[in-house]
Amino acid sequence: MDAVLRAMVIYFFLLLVFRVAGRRILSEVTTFDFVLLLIVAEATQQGLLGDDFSITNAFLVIITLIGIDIALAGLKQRWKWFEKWIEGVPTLIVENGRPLKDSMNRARIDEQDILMAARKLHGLERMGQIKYAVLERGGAITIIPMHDSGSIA
Amino acid sequence: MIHRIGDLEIEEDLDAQRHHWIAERVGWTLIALVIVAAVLGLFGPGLLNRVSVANADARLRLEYSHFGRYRAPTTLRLHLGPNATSGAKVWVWVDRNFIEGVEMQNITPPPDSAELGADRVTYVFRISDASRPAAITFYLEPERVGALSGRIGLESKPPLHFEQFFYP
Repeated sequence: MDAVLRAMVIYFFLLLVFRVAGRRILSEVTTFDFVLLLIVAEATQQGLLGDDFSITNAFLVIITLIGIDIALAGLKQRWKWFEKWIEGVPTLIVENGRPLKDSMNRARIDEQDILMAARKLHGLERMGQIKYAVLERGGAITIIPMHDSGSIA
Repeated sequence: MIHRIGDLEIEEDLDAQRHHWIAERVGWTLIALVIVAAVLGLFGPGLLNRVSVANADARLRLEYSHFGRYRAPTTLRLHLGPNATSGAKVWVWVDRNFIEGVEMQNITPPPDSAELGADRVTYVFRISDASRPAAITFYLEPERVGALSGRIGLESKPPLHFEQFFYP
């Protein structure tokens, strides 16, 4: 029971903390985000295993974590509102070549991030070539380029 | 074998896929059962894991865990009822088979001395008032995997038998 409880508490704690921290941290954009995730993994390990290094403890913790994941996946599929709360919703950040400043500020994204995604995904050069840019649930930015009739600017 | 579905060349095998999905659901049920069993205490600490064994007149009672895990801390607590013993000292012996299967981390309160016997180790504790209940706690870590049985008792009185099982 101790293994099950520890695993459950830590899973939900991490879920809560990362939801609150915002989406950008999960998309590992900078070196620091990546380092942060590494350190969090290290700090989590001690809490999960405690002073019990038996194989059985490791198995129970892993089975509990996977079990919660499976259960949450099932619940997300069943109830839309649940999925919205756990996963978040996508956000439009560029519309027809114009950045939506309010959403961008709230989401802590600047034009540089959007342009980088545009270069990476479609080899685009300018903001005017972006029809829509969306901040997806997991923190990635996706781009719909303007169609061949050209750009606005 | 690559099939064609419409314009798509794909190695789909619906029969195998159906079997996989069934296997997945069986797996989920097993996972749920394991978690419930763990909460109940089948694999170590849990709701039903702590048990007691007492002697006929209930003056001696041992509280222990049914299941433990390899090298994970567990405790034995020996409860002495009122007048379980007399005098200023109490001799508690534990059989050698059990002692050799575990690593004794700590005994609270610490015994005055320990005496070796052929098949047992006897700890001598000072007791201030034998007419009041008292308890001795043994903190240990199992060194073996599998079943381990032990006997614990006072002086030359009949011992309490207990069985534990340690997971790897």
